[in-house]
Amino acid sequence: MSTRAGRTYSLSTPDVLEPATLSDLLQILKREPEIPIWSGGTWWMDRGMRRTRLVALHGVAELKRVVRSDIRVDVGAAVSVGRLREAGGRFLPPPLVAALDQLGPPPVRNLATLGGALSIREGSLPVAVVLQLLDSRAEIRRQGHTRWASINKIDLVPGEVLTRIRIPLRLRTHWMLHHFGTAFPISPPSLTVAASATVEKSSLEELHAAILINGVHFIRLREAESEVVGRSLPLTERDLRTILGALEEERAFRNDLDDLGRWRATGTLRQFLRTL
Amino acid sequence: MKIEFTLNGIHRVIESAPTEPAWPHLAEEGAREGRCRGGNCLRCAVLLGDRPVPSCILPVYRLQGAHVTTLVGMGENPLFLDIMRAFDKVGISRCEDALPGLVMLAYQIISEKSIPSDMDIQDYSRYLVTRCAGRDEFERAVRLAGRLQGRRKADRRERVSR
Repeated sequence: MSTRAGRTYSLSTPDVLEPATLSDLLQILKREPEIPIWSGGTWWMDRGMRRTRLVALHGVAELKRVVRSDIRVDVGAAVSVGRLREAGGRFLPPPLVAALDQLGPPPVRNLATLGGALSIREGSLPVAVVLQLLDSRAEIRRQGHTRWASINKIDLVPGEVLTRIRIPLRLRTHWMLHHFGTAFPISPPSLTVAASATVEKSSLEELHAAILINGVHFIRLREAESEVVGRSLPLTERDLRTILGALEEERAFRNDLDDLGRWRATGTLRQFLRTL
Repeated sequence: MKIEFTLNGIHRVIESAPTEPAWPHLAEEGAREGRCRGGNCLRCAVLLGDRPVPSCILPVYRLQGAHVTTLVGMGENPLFLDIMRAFDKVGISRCEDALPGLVMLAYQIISEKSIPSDMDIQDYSRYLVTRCAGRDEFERAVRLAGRLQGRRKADRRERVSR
């Protein structure tokens, strides 16, 4: 199949389109916006999904790059989790490494991709909570158009593809990630509680907390976080109440968690805040 | 769709729908059927290129042009020989159910880390889902296989430098 530039991209069969470059991929998606996009394919295979025609990302060079600077790392959507874990073990934020490990045993991680894990329509995996916590953003492209989206707002419309994930590399002195229930596949009841903080000279410089309920409901406590930032440590009981009170006011927290889930969420968060 | 690939060094041509699992096409060359169908039990693990993958969730289109090696085809691989020697030394049974997962996990740790630390080995051994080998035994075997592999590489370097 020839492109506008006169080049050709490999097309192994009429059923599986295997573009070699991003521009080829975007052209295919412009022509066939509804074509299923397969990256690692682990999610679809696990669910027994069968397709006769698809576009595969494993040959797109631009989507398999990891570009790192002092302040951030850009991860191509088709980089396998195994390779990312291997290459980024030294510089990726520790909570992200822990979340990548939860995606499955090493042989599964050799197939699975970060872009694929974030593009699941049925819900989100714990890795999405951690990326959200780290203020990561996702680049979404279609022919002639690029947009950046927050990790919890990746709503791909036909013709769009997630191309890379931008992860800021800021030092955090404390972090935690707890997952209750089945992480993969997403099946309720499940709960992910993640938090990170930066402590400097006995004062709280930065605090992020995120909760994912049943793989569907994201909770961020931005207002409460900003209220306690700058406080001296250890946090007082009143500071803890500010954070936990904000959590308890969230509708998803009240409606979608049972007593045990609520106790786990507040308990783990309280424990984290007390360790600061 | 028609798919051409190399299985244990032999060129193969198969006809299959693109998103069927690869496992049935590899079974006669030693890939065992997985029990979990989700890639977690590692019974069906094979090498795709140089990386272990579970063949039950490997879509068949990924085989196009690939080199696939099952446990049966790894006989001449030096790292595999070191792993088997270490397994024998430590006393891990050659249970047909457990062996693919054990070998593939060990293969990945050592090929990734050369001389893996205890922490690395423990990180991987928590994925073991077999009663045929304890985590302690597996960790000892991987440490030993890593040392054997390291010695083999050092010998090779010495021969080249001479």
